[in-house]
Amino acid sequence: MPGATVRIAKTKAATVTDINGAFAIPGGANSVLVVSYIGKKPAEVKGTPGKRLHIILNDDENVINEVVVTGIVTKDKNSFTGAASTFSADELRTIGVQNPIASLAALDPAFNVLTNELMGSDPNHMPDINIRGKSSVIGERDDAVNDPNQPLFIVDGFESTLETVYNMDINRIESMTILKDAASTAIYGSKAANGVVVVETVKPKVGQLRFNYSGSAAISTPDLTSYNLMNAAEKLEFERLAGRYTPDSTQGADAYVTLSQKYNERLAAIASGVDTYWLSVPLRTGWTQKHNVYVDGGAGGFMFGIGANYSGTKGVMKDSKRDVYGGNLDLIYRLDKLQFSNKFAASYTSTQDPVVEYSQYAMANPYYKKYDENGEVNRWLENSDFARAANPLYNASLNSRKKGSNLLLTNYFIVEYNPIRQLRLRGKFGLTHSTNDSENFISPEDTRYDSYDRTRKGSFTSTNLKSTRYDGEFTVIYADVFGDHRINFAGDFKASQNKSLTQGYNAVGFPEGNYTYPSFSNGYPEGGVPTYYEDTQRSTNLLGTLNYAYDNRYLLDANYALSGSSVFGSTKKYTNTWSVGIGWNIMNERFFREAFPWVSMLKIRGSIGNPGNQGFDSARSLITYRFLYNSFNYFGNSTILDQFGNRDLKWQTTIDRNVGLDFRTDRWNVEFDYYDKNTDPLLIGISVPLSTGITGLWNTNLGIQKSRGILASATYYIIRNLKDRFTWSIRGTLRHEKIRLDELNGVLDDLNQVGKNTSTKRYFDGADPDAIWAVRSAGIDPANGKETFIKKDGSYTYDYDPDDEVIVGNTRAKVEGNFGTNFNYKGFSLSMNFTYKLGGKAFNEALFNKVENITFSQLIYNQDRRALTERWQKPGDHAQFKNIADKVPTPMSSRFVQRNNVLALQSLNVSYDFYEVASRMKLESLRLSFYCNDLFWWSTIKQERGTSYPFARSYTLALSFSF
Amino acid sequence: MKLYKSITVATVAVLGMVVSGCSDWLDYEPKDKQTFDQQFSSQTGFHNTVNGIYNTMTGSNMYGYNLSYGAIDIMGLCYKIESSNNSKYELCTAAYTGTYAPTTISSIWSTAYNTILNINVLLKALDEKPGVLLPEDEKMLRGEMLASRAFIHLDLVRLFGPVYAVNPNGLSVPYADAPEVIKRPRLTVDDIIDNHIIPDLTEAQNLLKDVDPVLTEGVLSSDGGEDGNWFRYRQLRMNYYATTLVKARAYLWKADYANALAEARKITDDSNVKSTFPWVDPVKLLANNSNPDRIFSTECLFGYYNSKMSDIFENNFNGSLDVGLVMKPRDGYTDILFPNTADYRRQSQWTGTTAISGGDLDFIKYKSFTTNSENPDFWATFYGLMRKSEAYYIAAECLMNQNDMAGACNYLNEVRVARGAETLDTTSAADLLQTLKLEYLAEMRGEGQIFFLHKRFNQSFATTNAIYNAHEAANRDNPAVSIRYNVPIPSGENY
Repeated sequence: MPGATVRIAKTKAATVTDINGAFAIPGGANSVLVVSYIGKKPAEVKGTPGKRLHIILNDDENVINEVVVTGIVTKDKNSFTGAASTFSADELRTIGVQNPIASLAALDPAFNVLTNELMGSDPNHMPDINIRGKSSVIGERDDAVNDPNQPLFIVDGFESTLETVYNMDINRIESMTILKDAASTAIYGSKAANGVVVVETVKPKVGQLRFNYSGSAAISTPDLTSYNLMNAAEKLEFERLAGRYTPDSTQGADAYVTLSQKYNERLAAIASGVDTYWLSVPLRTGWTQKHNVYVDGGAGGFMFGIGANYSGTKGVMKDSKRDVYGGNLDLIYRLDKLQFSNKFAASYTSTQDPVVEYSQYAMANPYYKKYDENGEVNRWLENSDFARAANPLYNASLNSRKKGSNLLLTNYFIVEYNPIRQLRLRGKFGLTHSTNDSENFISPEDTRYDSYDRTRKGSFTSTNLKSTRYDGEFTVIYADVFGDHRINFAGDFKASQNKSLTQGYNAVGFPEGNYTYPSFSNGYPEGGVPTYYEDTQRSTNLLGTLNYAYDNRYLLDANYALSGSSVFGSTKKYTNTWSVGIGWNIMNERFFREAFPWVSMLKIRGSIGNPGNQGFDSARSLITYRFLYNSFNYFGNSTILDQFGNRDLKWQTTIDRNVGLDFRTDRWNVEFDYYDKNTDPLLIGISVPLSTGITGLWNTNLGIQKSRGILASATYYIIRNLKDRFTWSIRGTLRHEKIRLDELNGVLDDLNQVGKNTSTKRYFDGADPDAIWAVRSAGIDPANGKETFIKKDGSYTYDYDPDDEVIVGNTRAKVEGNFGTNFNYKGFSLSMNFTYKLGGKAFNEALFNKVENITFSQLIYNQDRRALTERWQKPGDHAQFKNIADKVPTPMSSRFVQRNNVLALQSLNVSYDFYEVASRMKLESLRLSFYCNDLFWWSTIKQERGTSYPFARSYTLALSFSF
Repeated sequence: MKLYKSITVATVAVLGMVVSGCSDWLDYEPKDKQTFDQQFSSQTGFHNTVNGIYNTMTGSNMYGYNLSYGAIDIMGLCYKIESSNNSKYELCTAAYTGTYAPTTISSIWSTAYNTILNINVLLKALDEKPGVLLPEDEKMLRGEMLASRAFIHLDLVRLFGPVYAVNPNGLSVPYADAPEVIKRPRLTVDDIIDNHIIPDLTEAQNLLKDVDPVLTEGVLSSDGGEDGNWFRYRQLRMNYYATTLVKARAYLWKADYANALAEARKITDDSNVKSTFPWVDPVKLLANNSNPDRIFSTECLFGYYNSKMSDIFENNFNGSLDVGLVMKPRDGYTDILFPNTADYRRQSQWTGTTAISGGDLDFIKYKSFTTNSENPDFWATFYGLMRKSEAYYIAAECLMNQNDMAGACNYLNEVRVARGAETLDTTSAADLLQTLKLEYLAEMRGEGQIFFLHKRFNQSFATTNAIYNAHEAANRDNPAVSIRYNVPIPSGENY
C-alpha cells in the first residue's frame, strides 16, 4: 500500500511507504513499527530489515470522517484547517436511496436544496442548490444553463454536473465531500466561490470475485394537504356572493333572467351530486424501482469492476416518467512504480412529462363533470358567452407529448508514478460527452389553438444540446516527514475545454390525427428561425497547495491558484486565487491531553481566501453583430450590433473568512463554523438610460454583498457500545445567515420603483436583499370590509400608498437545519431525520391571488376555500379578508405576509443487516431497508405547494447483498 | 538528485508552455457569432456596418415612418385623424402620456440612440483598425458617420428639447459621442449645438470636402456595374451637401441667422449644386403619366432606398382606405396651401377634385407608377428626406431677419418659380413669413419637417390665423402649445 505512514513506536522516526508498500526506516531490529493510513486503524508489528511484512489494516469506524477528499489531494482531517465534511455511502443511505443530493442536504447544514414550490416532486426537475447561501443574489439565472449560485461538482477528480450526480445510483458512490470555505475550495480557483461537492465512486477491491447487488422498490403518493380548494357547493355560493349572478347596472332585466337560469342550472347539477375533485384526476400512485449490480475483484497488479444499474421512476402525475440506464467499467493496473486506472461510465436517461400542468386541474371548477352522459371527455367544460373553460382532461387525452433523453459518456484515465516514496506524479485525462434531446408536440386539437388559423394549429419544438468536455491535469505531490515536521505539497496544472452547441427549431401547422412529426407540419412559425447557439469555455488553472503540520499540533494550509478563462473580457483573462488556513490541535497538547484524556479531538481553525465565480455565460463580454435580412439596397448586406457586451466585465470574487471548531469525544461529535463572505464586486444586469443605446439589461460589476452566518452540527451518542453493536445517537444541525448589500449607490432605485406593488423585493445599500417590503396593514375594518393601512408615521388610512412600505419580514429563515436520531442494535437500525425552519416569513401568494384579487374573469376558476369562509360579508364581521363582493385589486400589504415555520419528516428508515443469515448462506452481506420519505410537512403558512407538479410522499423497500 | 533535476526541468518546461500557450488558447472567438474583431477585419465588414446604420436610421422607428410621414407629421397636424384611430389620435392631440403614444416616442428615442451607439462603435473601429480601408474610403465613412450622428442628435434636440424661442436655457437631450455605457446629462440647446453638433458637422464637412464624389462626379444615381456601388448613389448617403444643410438647420434652430445663412448659401449659391441637384423639369413631370418623379428626386440632397414605396400610399394615403386608417388633410387645407392650382406640387402630388372645397384630395406623392422592372427609375425606390429648397427657405428667413426683404424674396421666388407659382414681392416681414411657412407646408409634407417648423415659431393653432384654422377646427381638444411642443423624455431614460 502506498502512502502509509510507518513510525517506530515511542520515537519520532517516521516515513511513508512507496507505491509498492516498501519503506526504509532507521531503527534497530525488532523495533515495534506503527503503521497507519488515513481511513484505517493503525497496526503495530515487529519489523525486521529486509523481511517482507504482511500487515492488514482494518477499516476504522466512522473512518470516512477522518479524511477530506478534495478531488486533487486527499487530506487528513486532523491536520486540515478548512471547513469540509465527508459522508460515507452508509451515512448517505440512512436518509434514502432515491438520490444522493437529497441525502446530502439532510446531513449537512451548509448544503441547501431549495424547496421548489412550483415543481414539487417532479422527477425530471433538477433541484436548485447552494452551499452556505447565495453569493449572487441579484444575478439572475441565464438561459437555465448557468445558475450563478450552483456549487461545483467534482466526480473522481473531474469536473462534472449536477445532473450527473443527481442521476447517479447512490450505491455507486463511495463518499461525498462538501468543501465549504476558502481554505478547502481555493484549489479550484476561479470556480470555487459557491463551494464544491466532491464525489468519489466505488473502486474495485483486491480479492476474489465479489458480486454486489442493491435494489429498491418505492411507491409514492401525492401530498395534497397544502391545497385548500372549494367544493362544488362552496364555489357556487362564493360566485353568488361575489356577484357573478347579479346583473350590473348596464344590463337589463333579460340579464337577470339568464343569470338566474344559469345559477339554478348549476344548483340543480350540484343537487344531483356533481362535485368533481379535480386535484386527484391527473394523479396516480408513483412507482420507482432501482437495481444496481457491481462485480469486482482482481489479483496481483490488476483489479477490475464492472457495474450496471437501472432506475425507473413513474411520478405521481400520469405521463411523468424518468428512466435511467447506466453502466460502468473500472480498471486498475499496477506495474512496479506505475499505476494506471481507467473509469468509464455511460448512462442513458429518458424522460417524459405531463403535457398539462397540474395547476390547470386545480383551476377547474368542481361543478363541472369530467365526462358527459356518454362517458366521453368533452373539449370544453363550458363554452358559452358566460364562461369559456377548457377541459384539462381533454388536452391531456390528445396525442401531445413532452419527451426528453440524455446520453452521457464519461471516460477518466489516470496514471500515477511513484519514483520515490516522497513523490507522486499523476496525469489525468477526462472526456465527457453528452447529448440532450427534447421534443414537445402540442396537438392541433388542443384548446389553446381554438382561435388560430387552421394552418397554424399544433406545434412541434425540438431542442438538441450537445456538449463535449476535455480535461487534462498534471499533478506533482510531495509528502514527507522530518521529525516533528510533516509536509505535504502539491503542484497542479489543469486545462479544460467545454464546448456546447444548442440547436433547435419549432414547426407549426399540423393536421388533426396521428401526424405528430415535423415532416407533417406546414412550416416554421412566422418569422421563426432555427436556434443555433454555441458556447465554448476554456479554462486553465495552475495551483500550488501546501499543508504543513508541526508535531500534529500547529497546522498550516496555503493555496495559490492562477486561473485563466475565456469567459471574461479579453482584458481580464486571469485571476489570482489564494487562501491561507491555520489550525491548532489542542488535543495534542500535553497539558490538554493530561487534563482531558477523553477528548479525542479539539481543533480550532481559521481560514481566509478569495475564491472566484465563473458561472456566467461566456458571450456576455462580447460585442457581436448580426445581419439584417429585411433591408437590401444597392450597397449589399447590412449588419448591426446584436449585443454590446461589457468588455471590462470583471470576475465576481468573494473574500471568504471562516473560523471553526471541531470537538469529539467518545459521546460527542461537534462541529461549528462561523463564516463571513464578502462578494465584491457583484456581477449584475442593470437597466441603463436608453440614451446609452442599450435596451434591456446591461451586465456590469456593481455593489457588494456581505453574508455572515453560522453553521453548527452536533451528534450525541446516548448509547455507544461498539462491542455489542448497540448505539443510539441523536444529532442536529443549524444554519443562520445574514446578508446585506452595499455600494449599489442607488443604481437599482428604479428597479425598486418598478417593484412597488408588484414585488416585495427591494435593493438598497445596507439592506437585506431577502427582506420583504410591503405597506403595513391594520387588517379589515369590521364596519365596511375595507382594508386599513398604516402609514409611515403610524396613522391609519384606507388609501394605499406604496411610499408607506417598510420591511415587514424576511424570506430567509432565522434558523434552519435538520435533526434526527439513529438507533442500532445488532443488525437492526432505525433512523429518523427531520428538517426545520424557524423565523422566516413569506408572502402568501395563495391568499393574494386565490382569496383576494379574484377578478370577475377569474371566477371561472376554482379558488381557495378561505375566499368564501374568511372574507368580510356584513358589518361587524371580524374577517381577515376584505369584502367578498369587492373586486377592486388588492395591493400587496403586510396582511399577506405570514410566518413561515416549517417542520417536516424528511426520512424514516428501518433496516436490518442479516449477519448470521448471510454467513449461513455464504453471503458476504445481506441488508434489507425500509424508508419513508417526506412523510409529513407541517407549516404555519397555508399555501399551495407544488402548483405545477404536486409533492409526494414515498415509501421504499431496499435490498442489498454481496457474495 | 538527478531525478529532482529532471523533475525541475520538466516542471519549468510545462510552466513555460502553459504561460505562453494559454493566453492564445483562452482567446476564443465563437463561430456562430460575428464579434467586433471579426467584423472589422475586412472592408466588407465596415461596409456592411455602415449600410446597417443607414438601414436602421431609415427603418420605421425613425425616418421610415416616425420621423417622416408618420408620427411627427401627425404631431405636426398634417392629417385629419379620427378618434377611433387610438394611437395616431393620441399623437395628433398631443396626448403624449396616453396609452399608445409613449411606446412610439420611446421607440424613436431608443432606436435613435441605438443607431448612435452603432455609429460610435464603428468610429471606434475606424480608430482601432487603421489600414483595413482605403484612405479615401475611411475619410468618407468617418465624415458620413459624424454627420449622421449630428443629424440624429439634432432631430432629437428639435423633438425633445425646449421651444428655443420661449425657453432657450431648457434642457434638450444627451449627446452620445463614444460607445460608453454611462449616464450622460441632458444639455442645453446652445451647449449641444455649439459644442457637439456643429463641431461634428464641421469635421464631417472637412473630411467629405476632399473625398465625396458628389462634389466631382455628381449624385451617380445609377448602377456602377463591376466597380460596385460603394462610391455611388450619393443621395442615399449623408453627403457633403446634406451635411451642410444639417448644419444650416442646426444654426437656424438656435436663431443664429448669420451662420445659418452662410451654410445655406453653400448650397443655394453653389454652381455645382445647380447642375448636380437641378430643379425638377415640369415638362417631364406634368405630362408624364407613366413614371412621374413626384418626389422631385433630382432636388433631394438625402433620402433612403425603399423597395416598397407603393405600400406607403396604399396603406396610408389611398382615399379608398377605411376612414379610420387613411391620413387625409383637413378640409380646405390644400386650397390654402395652393391658391394657385397650377402649382406643380398641387398638380403632381395631389389628386381629386380641383374644386375649392378640395378637402378630399388624396396625397399621391408616394404613389407608385409603372417603371421598367429590369432597370427601374431611381425615384421608384427613393424616399426624399432633405431637399435643396430648404436651403433657399433658410436663406430667405435669415435675410428677412437681417431686414433684407428683397434678398429674402429672391431666394423664396427662386423656389416658387421652379414650382410654377407666382412670385412674391413684398417689404412686409409678416407677409413674407406667412408665405415662407406655407412654402414649408406645401413643399415638405411627408418629410418630417412641419412639426419642427411649428415648434420653432411656437405656432399656436388656436389663433384666428386663416392658414391654421383648418387644424384648429377639427382638433377641438387641441391642447396648449406648451404641451404639444414639449414632448416628454421616455421613462426608460431615467435609470
